[in-house]
Amino acid sequence: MNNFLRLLGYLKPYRFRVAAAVILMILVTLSTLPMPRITQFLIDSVLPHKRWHMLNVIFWMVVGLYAVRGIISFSLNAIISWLGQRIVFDLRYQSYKHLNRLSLSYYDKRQTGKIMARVIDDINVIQYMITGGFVQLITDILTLLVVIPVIYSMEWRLASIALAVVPFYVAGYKLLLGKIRALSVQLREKWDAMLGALQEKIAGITVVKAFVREEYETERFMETVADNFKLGMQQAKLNRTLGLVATVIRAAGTGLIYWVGARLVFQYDIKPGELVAFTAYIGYLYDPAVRLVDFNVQAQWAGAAIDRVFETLDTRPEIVDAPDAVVLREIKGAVEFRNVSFGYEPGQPVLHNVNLKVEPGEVIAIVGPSGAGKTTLVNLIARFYDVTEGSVLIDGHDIRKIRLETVRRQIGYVSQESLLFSVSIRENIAYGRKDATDEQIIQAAKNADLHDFIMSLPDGYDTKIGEDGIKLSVGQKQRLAIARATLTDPRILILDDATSALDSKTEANVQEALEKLMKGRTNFVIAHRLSTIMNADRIIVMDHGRIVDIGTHAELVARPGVYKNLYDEQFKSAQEEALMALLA
Amino acid sequence: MNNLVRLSRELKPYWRVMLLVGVLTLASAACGLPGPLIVRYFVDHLIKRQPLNLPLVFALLVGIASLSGAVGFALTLAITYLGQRFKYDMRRKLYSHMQTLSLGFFEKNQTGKLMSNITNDVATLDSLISGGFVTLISDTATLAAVIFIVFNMNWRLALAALVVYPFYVLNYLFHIGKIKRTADEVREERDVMLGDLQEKLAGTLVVKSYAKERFEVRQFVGQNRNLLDLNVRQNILGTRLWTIAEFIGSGCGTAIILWYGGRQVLLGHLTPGSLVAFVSYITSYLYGPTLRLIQINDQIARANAALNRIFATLDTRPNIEDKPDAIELPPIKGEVRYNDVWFEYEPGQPVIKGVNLHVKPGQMVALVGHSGSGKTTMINLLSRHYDVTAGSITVDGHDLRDVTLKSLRKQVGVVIQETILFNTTIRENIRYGRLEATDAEVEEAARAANIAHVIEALPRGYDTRIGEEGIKLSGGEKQRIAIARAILSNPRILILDEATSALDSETEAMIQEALERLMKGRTSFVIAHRLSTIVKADLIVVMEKGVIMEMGSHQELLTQGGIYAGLYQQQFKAALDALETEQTAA
Repeated sequence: MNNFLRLLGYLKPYRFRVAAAVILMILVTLSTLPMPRITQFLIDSVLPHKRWHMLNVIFWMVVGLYAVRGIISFSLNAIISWLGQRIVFDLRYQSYKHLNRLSLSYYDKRQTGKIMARVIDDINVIQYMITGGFVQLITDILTLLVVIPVIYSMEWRLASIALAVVPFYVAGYKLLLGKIRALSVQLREKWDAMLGALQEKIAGITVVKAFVREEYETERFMETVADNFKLGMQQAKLNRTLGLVATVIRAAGTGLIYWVGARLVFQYDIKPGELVAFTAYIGYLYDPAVRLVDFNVQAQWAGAAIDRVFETLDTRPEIVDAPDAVVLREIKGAVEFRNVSFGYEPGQPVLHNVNLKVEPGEVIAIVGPSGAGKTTLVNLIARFYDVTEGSVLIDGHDIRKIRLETVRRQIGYVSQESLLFSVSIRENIAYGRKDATDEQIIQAAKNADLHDFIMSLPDGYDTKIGEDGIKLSVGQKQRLAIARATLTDPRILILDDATSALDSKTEANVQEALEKLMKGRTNFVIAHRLSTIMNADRIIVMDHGRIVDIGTHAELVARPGVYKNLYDEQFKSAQEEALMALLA
Repeated sequence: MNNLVRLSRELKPYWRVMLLVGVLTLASAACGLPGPLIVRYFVDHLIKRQPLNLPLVFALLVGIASLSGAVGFALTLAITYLGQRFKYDMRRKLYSHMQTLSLGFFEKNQTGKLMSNITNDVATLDSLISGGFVTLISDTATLAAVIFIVFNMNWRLALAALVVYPFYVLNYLFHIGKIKRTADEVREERDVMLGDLQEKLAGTLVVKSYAKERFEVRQFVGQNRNLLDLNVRQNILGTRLWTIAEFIGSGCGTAIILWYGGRQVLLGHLTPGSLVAFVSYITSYLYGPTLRLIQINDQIARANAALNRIFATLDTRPNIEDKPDAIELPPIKGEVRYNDVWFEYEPGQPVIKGVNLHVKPGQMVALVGHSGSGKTTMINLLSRHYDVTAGSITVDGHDLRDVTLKSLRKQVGVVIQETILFNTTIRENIRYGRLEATDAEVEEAARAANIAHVIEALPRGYDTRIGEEGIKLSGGEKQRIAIARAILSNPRILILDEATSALDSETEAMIQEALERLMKGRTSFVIAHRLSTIVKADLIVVMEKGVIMEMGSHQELLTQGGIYAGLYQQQFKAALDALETEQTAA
């Protein structure tokens, strides 16, 4: 309910339009009143007294009435639909802007499909409720407010009878309301479950196919559909029960009015036309009551949607700029970890008390077993997450005190999985720097040993990739991601296993280009191949969230430890072979 | 139109329910008809002050309402059943069909679009069937009955009432073209917006790395502003259509009836009660149904678009299908032969060009080559995600195309480049490899993949949920779970594609050991870039641009002094340098 009021707050900037809409709603309501009166006039006055000329008057009255009514309701609908669309726009804008502010930990835990559903479906449901149900509700309430005095002014006894059946209706409604509500909540949940299952298994189709689980998955999916089936049937049953009760009660009310009204006509208390008009008005009384059911179901869905949208908007971004954050236009690239501890989940630390000082221009290789915290460490430099304890400093500034945007713009980050967008190769490379010239883009592609491949495509740099476009191998994707990162000319370059899918020759080519690029920048390289690692200025060896050793390759192989073991494992057989080849 | 014919064929299994719905719809429509006649009886007697059977009027009103309510109840249930049943069957059809389609289909279609196919498009069809179908029957019947009734009451007045009809239709035709065009624009714009949104949310890491949040928000706002304008335009066009329609129908129509009908009453051709009944018939039973019948057109157009998409999916033939006479592949030993294999994803662009390869049971094959040289394609052909364009691949002498896909894939285990795990417990994820595996077997597989100690250290052990609302695993941990999953499925042929790339050497060494045990007696294909892995292979296949350049054991290839030797020297030049420095130091 609070959320609903908060939603209404979104209408505030448009209060003049809302006021106009309310006035028009009142006018529309009032415009429904004259018609029964015209019928009454016809029956009671024109027909019995044979007033021929009055028929022309009635003709123009009806045409005029509907003309005015048409204009009013057209204006009303135009305003309402604008308001509805505007709310959609505002909510989507806010949600999306907010989603962009939320840190990675938010995305780590949620499926894209569910986030999408909030931005699209939930907001659509809200819009539908506002422009449909909510407007109808207000109109109905207005109608009730107007019609009740009107019928009382016509005949108080009949009016009382008409109202007397309403409590029965309310009782029936209250009886079923709880069930209807519970059901619609369940229905919504099952629907979400179905979408979730669908999203995951379509995105993971390769695994489904690899294990020949197509039939199994179909059955599982159909279970969720069957749940929806069952609940849908239950809901239809409940709604119709309510509808049935409403119809019968309404007919009983109308029948009673005919009965009593006819007696009143025979007693000359009212005229026949008046009774006809009266029965027309009580239609206005019962219709809104029946519609309440529809609105209730709609409001249930919308209520859940509103809650979810605001839940998203209320999620506090974990990473925000401090009010006094400084702008670092040109960083030199000194990075320092000072007593850094970090955990994704409270109580499950991933990094323990890490201390590391990196000078501008250094090449740092990070090695260690999987799960040692290598990726986490570099993620902290880009401030995708905030440290739990200690601090990360760039050029001596705590990164929490630097404007986030200015830091990230100067960091080039190539992640393990190469995420590319469904646009042209050119646009993908230029993603980080929209104003890049063609020469710069081509140079970046050359650095990643990708230019020749691109030129071999019929459309060259304008080739679309992804959906509707060409298929790239994992290695090609990685190289494209590297090209994208180098184009921004970052001060700090982070390569998280960025060349893992490249074969040795391509890797050597890329490596050569990267070595040139690394000059004058601070570089963090996570790699498993020792040939990549050996050229680093310093090698950081990590294990279980701790830095267990630091040194150059020569230093590290000279002393026993994790690195020496890694080195021996990978190189022993190779060196033997190499020696043999040399000797041969 | 073809689509609708085809849809009607799809509807065949439901003819009983549809018949029931039809009958109930007619009954329900009939319940509405007597109302105005009761009013006529009532009004006429009142005006002439003739005695009225009031209990009868009351009983009729309540009786008809109860009947109509009961019929409505049954009708709703029948319609809901029809709709839900249809959706159920259609979704099953679509989903199970999608499952048979090849990976190429999923690469070309965004997940969101496929989902919308199954959810929204099917729902649109349902609204045509359970909404449009009922409207069609009930309104056609009502129209026919009402026209019959009003012509019987007074044919002149009935004719007069129909004068406005042509204007009605003209108004509709005038607007509908524009509305449809706008609707198309809305749809296109919305699809673009949805596609972008999906991609940018999934790629949020990139957006953030490049600090492009504001750029993306601006772009999103631009798209949505266009959508806002288009939607408002569409709504206003629609409102204009229906406002004018109401003015013509309810306004002018009623005015004409009251005017002309009033004259008929004064002339004595019509009773006042009939006039009241007439107005009520014309306004609620003539224009209403006409409006709805016209709207069906709209609904059909919308459903047609949905049908196009649904049938497009259903018509996409899986490029891999079991032959009608395909046999179950018997338990294999694992002998694999590529006989002059050619393959192209796109016609005219061969990716594999005349490959011949013979792998003996139990051999370990290492595929080596530049990225894009066709290694992944080679193994995709083996697990038959695609069929060869020319030549053949045989397993134990069976052409892959002659055996059922299921029996083949059951014996081929794959650990793919990108690790995909599902949002469930670790146990369930591993068990995905063999659903009937016991907990003990699951744990054994985890041990073999060297992940057991990580899992057991978690507070909830194997029942820990991963993914959404669960814990976060490192890339290497995910890979080891995927490996455990493959180990559990106990395949005869094992395919490892870059599976160990995110593992450090130490962990890889441990897994290597487990895998070596697993590989014993099995044929295995490994795409690994580290020579230390490759060196151990029985057969090294060096590929370039879809062609096998060299083939043989490590020793053989080194002595040949070809590409492999070159690659080898390059990778180990650094190592040798290091060795030399060490030696000179020593």
